[in-house]
Amino acid sequence: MDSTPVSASLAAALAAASFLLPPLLDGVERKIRAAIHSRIGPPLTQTWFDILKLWSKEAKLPRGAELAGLTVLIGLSIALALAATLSTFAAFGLVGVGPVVAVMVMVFALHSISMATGCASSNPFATIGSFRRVFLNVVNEVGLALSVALALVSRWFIPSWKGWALLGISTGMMLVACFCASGRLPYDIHEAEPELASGTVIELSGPLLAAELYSHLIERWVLAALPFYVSLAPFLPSAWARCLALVLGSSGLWTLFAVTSATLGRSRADLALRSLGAIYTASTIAWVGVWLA
Amino acid sequence: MRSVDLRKALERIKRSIWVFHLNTGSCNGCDIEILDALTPYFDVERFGIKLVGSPRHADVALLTGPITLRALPKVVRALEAMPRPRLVLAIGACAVGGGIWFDSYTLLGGFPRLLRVLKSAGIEIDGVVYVPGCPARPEAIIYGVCVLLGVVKPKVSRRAVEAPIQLEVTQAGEVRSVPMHREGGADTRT
Repeated sequence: MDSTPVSASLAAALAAASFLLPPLLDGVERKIRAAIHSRIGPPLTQTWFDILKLWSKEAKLPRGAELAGLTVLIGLSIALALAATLSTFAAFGLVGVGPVVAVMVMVFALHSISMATGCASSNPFATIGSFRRVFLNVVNEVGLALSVALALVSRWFIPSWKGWALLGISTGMMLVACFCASGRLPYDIHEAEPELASGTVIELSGPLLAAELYSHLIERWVLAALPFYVSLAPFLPSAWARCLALVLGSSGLWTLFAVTSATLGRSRADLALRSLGAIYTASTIAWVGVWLA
Repeated sequence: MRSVDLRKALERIKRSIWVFHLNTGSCNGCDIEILDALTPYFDVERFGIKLVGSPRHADVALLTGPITLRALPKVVRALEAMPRPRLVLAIGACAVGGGIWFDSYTLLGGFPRLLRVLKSAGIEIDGVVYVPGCPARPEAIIYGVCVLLGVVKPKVSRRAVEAPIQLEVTQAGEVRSVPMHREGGADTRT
């Protein structure tokens, strides 16, 4: 553990980056999607403009949906705490089983509170929309938890070839799980809502919608940084290297996720059980096969 | 509920315009043009314009059609659901003044008459721009959004004509539009 002022400064800088970068990375994602469509697309700062605009608008909440508004604020608090915690752990070299489990608990808490937002709304369409999110989370959380657990176990076998192979398989599985958990195509959440005319955020407006959008973007950043934190950070000796790996790695992975989602079509949520189940089962069998070899 | 600084919010909307498509009984001609304006060919996202599926998320309502009396309660509710500042772009001849249906008994006949209904219901509209045409062209719709937000200045002056029609409430409580037949033709005021 590097308990130096340098680590503390790096933790603060990384936390600030994790608060400021996600909307800009979303701007990059929108630019990439526009480039694939042969369009100019919005400016890189467009998502920041959207958030600031929503923040200055009126907040209209229907009667009986006060609890949904509260869950949004709790979700934003958890998202900010999660990004700050991940930054601190990475800067101070806290990459053992305990810190990773703590981060995963916060990720699952964030997912649960976003599911609760739709269920707590007085609008039945918001409840219907939250079913899609609940189903995808139930299917994908198993793969996410399993991949992180396998990556932690794989570290014990390093530096043998078996350890690196096991870590590679579990990291690949984690990439798929993080991609699906980020709510992008083919199992998107927010983008699907305008077409389905239902979704967890259908009744949110103004600052509450800004809070929901911002916490979702921070969640995406955490999910893009998670594979680097779990699989790469333990092998980097200095705080500088770990922080740099997290910032550059998460930005690169966000871009890769953006290209992947822009080239994929939307899939039915019920098909996620079959396709994701097949990927996670095959990966686990491969991991066990290498372990037994 | 916190108070809203409308001027500040309107300044910020100029860079981030979320639109909601509101069909009030249109023939779908203008609606197809709206969809055309939202395609990658016109790329309105470069101006920060984005289509949203809920009036709660919207800044601008893209209103088409002459507002049928059947649709009127839903239209009022949708506009009321929009957070302030709420803006309206009345698209097409029907939305501008009822078009060829201006004196039909089944219609309100254009957005100016809806404005009166909204005012009586205490619903404030913070800005309206009329985009004429049958149907309105996609370029005109994009231009109308820019005029609405003050990004560009309008090229033409506004001329309003009052159609000879009045609203009345029946004993059953329904709103009806009643043509006003006068000797010497229509009563037009500019």
